[in-house]
Amino acid sequence: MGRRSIWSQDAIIELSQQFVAATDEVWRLQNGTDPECKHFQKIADVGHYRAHESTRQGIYICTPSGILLGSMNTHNANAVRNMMSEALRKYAVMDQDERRLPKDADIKPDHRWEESYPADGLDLTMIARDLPESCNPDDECQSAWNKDRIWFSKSEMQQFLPEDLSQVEAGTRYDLPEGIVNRIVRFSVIDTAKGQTSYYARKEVAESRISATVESVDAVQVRIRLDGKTRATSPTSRGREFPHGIETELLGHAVFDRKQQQFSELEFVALGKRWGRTVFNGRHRQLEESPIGFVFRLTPKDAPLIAPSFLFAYRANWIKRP
Amino acid sequence: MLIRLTFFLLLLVPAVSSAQTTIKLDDRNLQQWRDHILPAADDLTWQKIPWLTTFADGILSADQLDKPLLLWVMNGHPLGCT
Repeated sequence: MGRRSIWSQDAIIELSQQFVAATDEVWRLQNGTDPECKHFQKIADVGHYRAHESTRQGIYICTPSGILLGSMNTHNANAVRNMMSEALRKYAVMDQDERRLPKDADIKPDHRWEESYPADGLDLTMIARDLPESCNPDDECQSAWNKDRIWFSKSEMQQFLPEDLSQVEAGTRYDLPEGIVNRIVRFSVIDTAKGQTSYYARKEVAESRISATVESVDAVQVRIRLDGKTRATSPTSRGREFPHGIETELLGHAVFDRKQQQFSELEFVALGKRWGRTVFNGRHRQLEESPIGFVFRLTPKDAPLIAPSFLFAYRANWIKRP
Repeated sequence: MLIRLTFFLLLLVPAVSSAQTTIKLDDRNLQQWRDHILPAADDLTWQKIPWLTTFADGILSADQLDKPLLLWVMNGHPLGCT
């Protein structure tokens, strides 16, 4: 919500030029023990939540040395603009020594999940969006949306293709391996349009299938059509979780460049319905079924490097763990 | 009064029937749904701010440029799924 209510305001975008702007995931920063996390905790532990709340999420303004100049967690753009202006005034009257990072300071993280980025594999961006109740794509709606990434190593990427490309001809049809389907359905076709949700256990996605049909193949490229159905259900309450589920139909295509050994195109849409709620996914007043849609597509090469939310839960030996 | 009531009922009919419609994805509407789901330009205005993607990168850059750091942290990365 902050994306629209605060950071899309012209006055704030202009004012932000007088700062260095950064974003990050807060859980690791507030709980970690490496130098980067400790530097953050020095700032956040005197901020709006101090040590009283379980989270430190929000907006902070600080000197590089770690002195807090302002903080809050709000969707009120005016309040943020005022805080930014006040912080600039405070910063301007501080001594250089006070505001700059000490020369011997260490703020290097011990581990970040981005280190596992599969440069020769597959990096997809997932966009999830609530759909109009009319189920008509022409109906305009300012609906909630969210995004995430999903990563595959080189050998996993190759599993989107037929096993033996030399034997393949147009019309060849095959199912994507269970491991590939599971990663997509468990971690990405999830009800996250309105907020963070949890992922599904393996046994909860048993009825899902994604199939591929070779449309054309030559020495340069292989073009495939993707279709399938996904279903994931978590039928029982578990801790603070409530019964929830999602089912979709899936359609798309991919083009594999045989020389580059990379997909030059890969995009699919999944449409269906979600129901129930998880702890933080914003559905506490929307337990009944409603339409939801997803687009999966190649991440542009110049996109910021952000790790998938549930990378830590991938069963893959190429993940560099802390 | 009767005319008003009839008009009101007519407004209700499409709403009720459309809510029961199920989505059918096929080759004819695939592109439309894709375009509907992808973020519009308005959805992406916040990306005009050149966000660095880690706290440490933000601190180092702020120090180099002698500027204060504006930090936005959430459960889930704000440039990813939050």
